[in-house]
Amino acid sequence: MNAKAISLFSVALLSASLLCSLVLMSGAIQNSTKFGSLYAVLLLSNAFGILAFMIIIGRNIWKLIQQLRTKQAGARLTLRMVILFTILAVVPVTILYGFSLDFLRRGVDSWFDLKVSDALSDSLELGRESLDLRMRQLLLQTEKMANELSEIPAEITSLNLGALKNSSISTQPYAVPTPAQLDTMRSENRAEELILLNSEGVLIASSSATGNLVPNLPPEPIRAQVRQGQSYIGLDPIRDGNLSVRVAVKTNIAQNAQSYYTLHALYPFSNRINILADSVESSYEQYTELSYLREKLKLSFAMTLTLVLLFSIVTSVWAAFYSARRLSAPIRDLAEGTAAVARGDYTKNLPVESNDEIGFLVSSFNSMTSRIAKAREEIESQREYLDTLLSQLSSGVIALTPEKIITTLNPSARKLLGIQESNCEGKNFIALHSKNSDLGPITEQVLHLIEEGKEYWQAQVAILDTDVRKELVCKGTTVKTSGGTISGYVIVLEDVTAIVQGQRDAAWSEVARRLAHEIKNPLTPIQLATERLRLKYLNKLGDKDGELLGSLTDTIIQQVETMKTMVNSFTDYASSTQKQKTLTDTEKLLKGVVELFRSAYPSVNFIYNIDPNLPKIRVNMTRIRQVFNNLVKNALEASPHGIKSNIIISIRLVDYLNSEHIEMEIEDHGSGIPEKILGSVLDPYVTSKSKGSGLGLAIVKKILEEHGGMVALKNKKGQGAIVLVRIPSTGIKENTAITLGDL
Amino acid sequence: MSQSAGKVTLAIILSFSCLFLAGELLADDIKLTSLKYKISNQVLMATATAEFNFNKDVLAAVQSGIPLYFELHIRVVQPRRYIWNEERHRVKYTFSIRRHALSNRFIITNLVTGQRGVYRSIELAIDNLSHLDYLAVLDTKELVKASNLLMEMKFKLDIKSLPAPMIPMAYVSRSWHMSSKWLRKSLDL
Repeated sequence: MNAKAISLFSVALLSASLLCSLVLMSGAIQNSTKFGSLYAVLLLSNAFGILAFMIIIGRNIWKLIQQLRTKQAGARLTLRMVILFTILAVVPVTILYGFSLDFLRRGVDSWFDLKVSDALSDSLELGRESLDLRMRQLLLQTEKMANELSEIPAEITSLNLGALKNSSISTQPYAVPTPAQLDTMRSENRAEELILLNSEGVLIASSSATGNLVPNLPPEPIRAQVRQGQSYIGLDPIRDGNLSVRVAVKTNIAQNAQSYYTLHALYPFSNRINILADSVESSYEQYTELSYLREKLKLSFAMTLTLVLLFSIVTSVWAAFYSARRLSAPIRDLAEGTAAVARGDYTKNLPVESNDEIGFLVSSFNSMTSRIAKAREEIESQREYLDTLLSQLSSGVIALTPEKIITTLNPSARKLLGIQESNCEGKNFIALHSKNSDLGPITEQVLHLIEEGKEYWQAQVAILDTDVRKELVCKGTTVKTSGGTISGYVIVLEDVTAIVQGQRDAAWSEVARRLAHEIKNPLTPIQLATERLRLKYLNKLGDKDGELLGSLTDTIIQQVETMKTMVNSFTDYASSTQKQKTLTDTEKLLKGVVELFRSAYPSVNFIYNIDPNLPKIRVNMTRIRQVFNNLVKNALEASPHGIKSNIIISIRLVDYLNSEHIEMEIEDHGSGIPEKILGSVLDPYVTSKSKGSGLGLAIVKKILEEHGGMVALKNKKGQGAIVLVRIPSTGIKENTAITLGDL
Repeated sequence: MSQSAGKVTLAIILSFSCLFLAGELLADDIKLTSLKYKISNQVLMATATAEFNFNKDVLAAVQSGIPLYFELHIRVVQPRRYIWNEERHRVKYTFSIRRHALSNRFIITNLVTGQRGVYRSIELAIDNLSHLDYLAVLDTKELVKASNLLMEMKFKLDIKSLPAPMIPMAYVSRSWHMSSKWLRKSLDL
C-alpha cells in the first residue's frame, strides 16, 4: 500500500469516525441516559476530528499556493475546480444549515406551549388540592385517634417499650395503648403504619400493616414541630416513590407538663392514585426540566448541527481537493508533456491511468510525441547529411530567407567570400557588405538579381580579396512553396578565377608564341642585311654620310637585338616546363642567383633567413632559376639606388593545402607596387617600370603554376613590397586551384 | 504548515487543560469542615460535616427538577516522602438531590445504601447532606497493618451526570465546578 492509499484510507477512517461520533452525540442530546456521560468526550472528539480535517485542508491549500507560485502545470486548473466544487458543496449545505437552525429553534420553542404549561401546572395543583383534602381528613382522623388513646384507662396500660430500650427512662407505668389496641386502631383507620413516640422521640409502641420491623420514624424537624404543639401533615414519597401521607400529632397522654406522646401515622394512597400522581409528577418534572434546558437544548442542537455542517464542509472541501487533483493530474501531465515537447524533449511518455476520454487523449499524445521524435530524428539525419554535403562542396552555397536573412552559409562560401566569422546564420545578407567593402559588388549584384524576380539567374562577378582579383560565378534560384509564395533563395558560388586566368594565360601564350614565331623569323635577315649594308657602304661614303649610315645601322641592329630579347621573352613565356625536372637545392639555387647580381648592386645587403632542414624539391631547375632571377632582379630594381638597403630573403617549409611546401618571401624596401596595378601585376604587359616588358612577373607566375605553386605580391605597411612564393616540396600537383584567400 | 497546525492543536489542548485546572483550584463551593472516624465491629466508619454554598445556577437547576449527583470520595493512603501518596483503599458514595414536584419536597438519596430523606425545603435537604454519619469505609481486616495512614475525603458535584445539553456549558462554567478540597485525617488503627 503506497502513501497515497494510506492517506486516503486515513481520511476515510477519520470521516467514518466523525460520522459515528456525530450520530452518537445526536443520540446523547436526545436521550441523556444512553450516551450522556460520553457527551463531552464525543463533543471534543468531533471538534478535534474537524480540526484534523482543517489541518489536512490547510496543508492542501498551502501546497496549492506553492504550486501556483511556482506556476506548476495544472495548479490553476486545480484551484478553479476546488473553488467550483467547494461552492457547489458549501452553498447548499450552508443554506440548509441556516433553515435547519431556524426550524430547530422554532421546533424547540414549539414544545413549550403556554397552554400546556398552564395545564400541567393546573393538573399538579389539582392533584395537590385533592390530596390536601384527603390529608386534612386524615389529620382529623389521626387527631381523633390521639384523643381515643387519651381515654384509655391507666391500669390496663402495661407496656413501656421506652423503658425496655433505655434503663435511664422512668419505668413508671403510663396510659399507653397496648399493641393490640394500636393494631385495632390502625386497621380501623386504614393506616399503613402507626407508632407512638415519647417526648424524647423514643418509640413506645408501633403497628405496621406491611410487617416492617423497622418503623419509618419521623425526622427531627417534624418532631420539633409537634413539640411546639403543631400537628404535622405532609405528603411524602416514602418507599419506591409511592406517595404516603405522614401525620404526626401530640396526644394528651401525659403525667406532667414536660412529658407528652406523639402519635405518628402513615396513610397509603391507592395504587390508582399513586399511578395518576406519578404520571402528573413525571410529566410536570419532564416539562419543567425541558423548560429549564430550553436554551441549552437549542444551543446543543445548534452545536451538533454546526458540527455536522463543519463536517460536511470540511469533507466536501477535502473531497474537492482530492477530486480536483485526480481530475487535473492527467491534464497536468499533458501540460508538462506539451511543455517538454515545446522544449524539444520528445522522450516524455505519459502514464495512461484511465480508459476514458482523458486516457485516450494521453495515449494519443504519447503516440504523437513518438512520431514527432521519429520524424525529428529523420530530419536531423537529413540535415546532418546536407550539412556534410555542403561542407564538402567546393562550391559556395548560400540560402536566404525572403527577408534576405542568411539561413545557410557553407564553409566554401565563407572561404570564397573571405568571411572570417564562423556563424553568419541569422544575419542579414546585406550586412556582409557593410563588414567587408570588397563584397560590395557581389551583394549588390545578387540583390539586384533577386529584385528582378527571376526564378533562375546567373552572373559573373569580380571581387577583390586581399588585393587579389577573384572571379565568381553566382547562380541563384528562387525557392517557392507549393502555393507559389517565395520561401527563400539559394545562391551557388563558383570560383572561376583559375579557369579565367588559365584561359587568359593560354591566350597570352598563344599570342607570345605567334609573336615569337612571326617576329623572330624576319629579325635575323634584317640584322644580317643591316650589318652587310654597313660593312659595304660605310667606308665608301664620306665622313658625313658614313657617320649617318653607321648611326642608322647601329640603331637598326640595336632595335633588332631588343626585339630578339623581347621575342626570347615571349618564347620563355610560351614554353612549357614539364620536362627536365631534377632534385634541386632551393637555397643553393637562390644564393647562386643572388651572387650574380651582388657586384652590380653593392649598396644592397642580402639578409637570409633560411630553414636549415629544407628538403630538395623536384623542379625544372632552369625555369625555377629564371623565377628567382626575375624576383631578385625586381627586388634589386625596386630598392633605392645609391642608398644602403636590405633585401630579406626567407625560405621555410610550410604545410599548405595538406601538403608540404617550400615558402619563400623576398622583402624589399623600395616604393612598393602602385595600388592601381596591384590586382593585375601578374598579368602580361603590366608593369610600373618605364623600360620593363611587363612579362617578368607573368613568366614567374606561369612557371610556378606549372610547378603547382603560386606567387603573390603585397605592399608592406611601412615601405616596400613582399613577394611570396610557394612550391610543393613533394610532387607537383596538376591543376591545383590556388586563390588569394589561401595566402 | 504541519508545525503551525501542531502548535494550534497544542494551544487548544492547553487552553482546555487550564480551564479544568482553574475549576479544580478555585473550588470552594463545598467545604469539608470536620472528619472523624470510628471503628465499629472492625469496620472503619467515617463521620464528616460539610458546608455547601449552592450558587443560584445550581439552585435554579434543582428547583427546576434537574437532579444533581454529588460524589463523596473517601480514600486511605500511605504517605510517601518524595513521591505521591500510595492509595491503599478507596470508596465512593453518590448522593442525589432532586425535587418532588407533587409533594413539593426535596429528596436526598444515598445511591450506595439506598437511604432516602424527604425534606420540605432545599435548605433542609442541604443541611441533611452536610451531616454525613457513619459511612463505612473499609473492613480493617483487609488493611495490612501500617502506621501513618491517612484518611482523605472529598465532595464534588458530578458534572457528567447532568443532562447532556448542560454538560458542555457546565465544563466551562465556574458555577458548576462544585468541589471541596481534600480533607485529611490521620488514622490510628
